[in-house]
Amino acid sequence: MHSILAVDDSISMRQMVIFTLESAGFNVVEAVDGQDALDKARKFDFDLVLTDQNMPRLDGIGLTKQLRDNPKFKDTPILILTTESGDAMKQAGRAAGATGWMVKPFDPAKLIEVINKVIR
Amino acid sequence: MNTSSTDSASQAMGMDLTEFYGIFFEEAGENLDSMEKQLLEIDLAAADDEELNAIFRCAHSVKGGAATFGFMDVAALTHEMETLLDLLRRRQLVATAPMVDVLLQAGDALRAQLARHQNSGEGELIDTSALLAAIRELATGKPPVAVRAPTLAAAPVAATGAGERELELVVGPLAIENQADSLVELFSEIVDLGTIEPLDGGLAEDGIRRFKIVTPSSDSELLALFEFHINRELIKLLPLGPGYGIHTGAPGDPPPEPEDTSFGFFDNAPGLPAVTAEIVPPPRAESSSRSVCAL
Repeated sequence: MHSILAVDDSISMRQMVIFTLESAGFNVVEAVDGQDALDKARKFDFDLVLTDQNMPRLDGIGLTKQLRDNPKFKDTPILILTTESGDAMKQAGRAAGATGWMVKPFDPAKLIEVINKVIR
Repeated sequence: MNTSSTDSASQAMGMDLTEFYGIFFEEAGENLDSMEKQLLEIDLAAADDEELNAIFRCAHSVKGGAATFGFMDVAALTHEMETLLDLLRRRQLVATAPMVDVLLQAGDALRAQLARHQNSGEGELIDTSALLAAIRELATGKPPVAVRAPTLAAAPVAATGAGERELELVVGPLAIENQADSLVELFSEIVDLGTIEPLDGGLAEDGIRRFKIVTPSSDSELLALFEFHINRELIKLLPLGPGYGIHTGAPGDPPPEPEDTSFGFFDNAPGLPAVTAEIVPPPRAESSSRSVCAL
């Protein structure tokens, strides 16, 4: 079973993402912000990281950069969930090393479809 | 209770988003309380980045949840607040007392909107048009305009404004598909409402119609207008544009999908289906992202 690290500071969004992923058969570990995600990434292996962008302590871009600096996550798909769909955010995500992005609000079925395109 | 913007897809996955409403309302209330406390305590002359970021995140969090769970009036107001707060935290505007006043009033209006949604959408709409206009004005850096308190909505009218935006309008499922035509007629009848065009070639799928609209009106203004013709719960306003993308060459980027060579169309040939653009696989163009479809 694939394991996904789901990162969001919003409880309601996190619960919905977790429900969506678990309904699709993924094992999910949750993190409440980027720093919490980094701590969990040091302890566990994940097949994909799905992260919010705007979070306290460490945002999605910062998390992505730090994960890419860790050889364990060099090739792990990282998707950023964001309410911003402008070019600046996409460029920032790409520069940080993100695999892709998806806008919020998201279609749960589309989220699973996108994850299945990149997860190995 | 109103249905969410992701409702049809959620239902297809066996999800009942109403299960998450309680968590959202509680979380939104906490964020609004936190935002109000910080706005009341802020020292305008010495506000630091973290204080401004924290206030921004409160509005941002409410907006994200509201948009996800389909409370579009809440999402529209928090979107404008977020725009102003983003300019403040980036130091592109200097925080002023009138800005704080308007943001506090917006917080009160959000509580009223959320209470209405918690009450299953019962009761009159909250008219936030003056607040929305005031926040937009402040975000331009212009002197503040007088803001009246939010009121119950009067008969909806089409708003006028300088900036137009593109949205996807999803209507349905409709028992009678041509019900959606009444919304199309609105755009021809009301000057300044903007333009509307079908995204589905005029064909409903499972009773659902999709349109692209270009309009200067806010979401709450549009919804107030549309719900005179179609049940509010059957109307969704979504961002128009790519719903996701995968950066070419990034770790995890999958190999290109083989192009389906089992069929093809000749350019400009008679009888081409109107939805050809949706059938042909998207080009794998090198850019900041590869857009595949809209949500």
